[in-house]
Amino acid sequence: MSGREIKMTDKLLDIQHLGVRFEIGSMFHKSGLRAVHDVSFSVDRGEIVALVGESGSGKSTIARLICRLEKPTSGRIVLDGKDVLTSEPGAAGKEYRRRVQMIFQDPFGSLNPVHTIAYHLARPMQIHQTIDSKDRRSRILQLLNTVGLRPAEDYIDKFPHSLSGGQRQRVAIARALATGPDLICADEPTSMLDVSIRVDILQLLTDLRNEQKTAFIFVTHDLAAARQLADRILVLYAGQLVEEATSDELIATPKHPYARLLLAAAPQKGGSLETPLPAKPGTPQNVDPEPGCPFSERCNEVMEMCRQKTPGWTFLENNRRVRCYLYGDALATEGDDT
Amino acid sequence: MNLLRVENLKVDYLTPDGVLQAVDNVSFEIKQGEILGLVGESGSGKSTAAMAAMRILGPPALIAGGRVIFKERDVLKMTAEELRRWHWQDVSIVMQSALNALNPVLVIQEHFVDTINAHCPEQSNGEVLERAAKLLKMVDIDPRYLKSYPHELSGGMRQRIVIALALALYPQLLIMDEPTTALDVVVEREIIKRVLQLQKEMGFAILFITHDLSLLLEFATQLGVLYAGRLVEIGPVEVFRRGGVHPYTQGLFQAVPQLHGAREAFKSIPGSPPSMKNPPPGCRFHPRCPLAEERCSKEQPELKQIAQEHQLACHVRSRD
Repeated sequence: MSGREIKMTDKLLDIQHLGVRFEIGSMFHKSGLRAVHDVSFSVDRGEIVALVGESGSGKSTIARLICRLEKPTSGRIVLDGKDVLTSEPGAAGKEYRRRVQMIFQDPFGSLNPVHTIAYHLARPMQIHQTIDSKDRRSRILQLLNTVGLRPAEDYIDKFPHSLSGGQRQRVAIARALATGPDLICADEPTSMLDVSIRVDILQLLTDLRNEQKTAFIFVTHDLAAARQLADRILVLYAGQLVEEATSDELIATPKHPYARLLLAAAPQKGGSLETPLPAKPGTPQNVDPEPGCPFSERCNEVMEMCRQKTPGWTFLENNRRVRCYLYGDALATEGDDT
Repeated sequence: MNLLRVENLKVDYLTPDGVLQAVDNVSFEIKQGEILGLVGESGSGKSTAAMAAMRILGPPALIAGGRVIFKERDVLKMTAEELRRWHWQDVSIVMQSALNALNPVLVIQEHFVDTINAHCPEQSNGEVLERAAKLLKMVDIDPRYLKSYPHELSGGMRQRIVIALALALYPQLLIMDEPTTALDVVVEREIIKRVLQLQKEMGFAILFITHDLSLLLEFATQLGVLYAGRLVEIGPVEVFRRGGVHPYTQGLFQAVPQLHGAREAFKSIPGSPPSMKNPPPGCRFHPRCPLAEERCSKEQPELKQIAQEHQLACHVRSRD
């Protein structure tokens, strides 16, 4: 349903060994919080990639890094073959910002209450000079139509407070589209919305991909939504990627013990709380992490070597990869990847 | 035996623009040891109904009608002192945001001391702390955290502590208002499993409020679906495992993407939930209902028994 027939061979974004480390604690007791560690993946033109994980897994941070709202401490972000961090070491260039846009989780916080919908959509056009000022209003009407706020004339001069959460999220999507981006990072775009309208937003993102070839990075903790929307799913734990597969394969046969845990914990029809979870309780350790696999503390299948060295990638059929010794002995040193 | 009986409960919010009927004619019962799930979207009145039944709603909310009976006692007629005793000892509540439910300037053990002392002043400090340690162990938390401040704990731990606190006086009814919505799925599952084990051991009943229908299907015994302040369907959980009968219930099921099975087209419920300031006439769901007939826009359907313990408020489906 999500337009899987589109063949995508064209690499748009390439993330290489991305990492962020924050210093926390007092002057005398410094700790390093490893929010994102050695993350590498790529996104093709018109592709939807889901980043899945629990809170603290680094999924939102990666989206914010890609949108250049935060600075990585290591790694490269390559857009269309150009390393954007070295060519624009300070803030991101205007062109990068035009091409990579963001949709935030909270549509109540991401729109300015004192401005009309028209203002929200005109600003990006004004800043990026994507369209003549005289044509702006008709472009805004067109955008509102695209995101399903019809008739657009009824919405254009409204203020955010008179719109529902779902309508506000549509405005936020229209705003991201206003610059004609190639990639949109959507950070849990449906989790604040009512159940009955969430699927509308997912459908809208699917349509945009199919019609405008916009690529999406979809950050979510909802595996079922990820499967519905995304072509590929990347699973994160404690700031590291642990598995990558096509959505169907990941849901059908999750390999990494953490991916299996996530899947077992997702509520589903016919599911039962009686089924024991396939891992020990615990939280990801991001602060001054021990060497070894970050999931080893909780893993039921932990082996001696898991605690000594972080596993590297084991590549399986169909561009599938997993970072776990159960599937091979791909030993890796810190910072080594792909 | 019925533990809690809510009859035709009406709750209004008095707003500058007029009266907003947040809960309209809602009735349900909870028997001892039962788990009743109330599902609804935001604004459906699910939390308001529960809080009104507990009498912890303040102005601008107003209980405009109905009765709340807890073991033959009329809750709406209780005095302030009776209410104070009733809370925690007979009924307690776990709110969604565990961070806000704990006082940031008090260590965890102070919360237990305050609560237990307020109800059992005869207990010595040592006894209270011993009980607090035991309660923490019940929710799988090391008693050494009694000396911690709320901000030093993770969201999941805080929510466990709030649950332990709610169980401190061994109530017969535990109201849980979206207790795990702010938590990750794995943590959510661990906590709910623990609560269900405790429920089996201690025998309390649970009123579980959530927007997550698939979660409720896994453990509730009875389930009620609220839409725009009214119950549209209520019955044993088996009815809902088969997909429910009310068009709104069925729409909710279809709107949730499924993990397994064929990847189907997204099916939403068209439109959005109505504004409670100005709810549509007749059945409040009719503007979004695929089965709506003329009658639905004029006459409000009442809950009718359609099978054993299964009630439905729908003109079309209760006729079929």
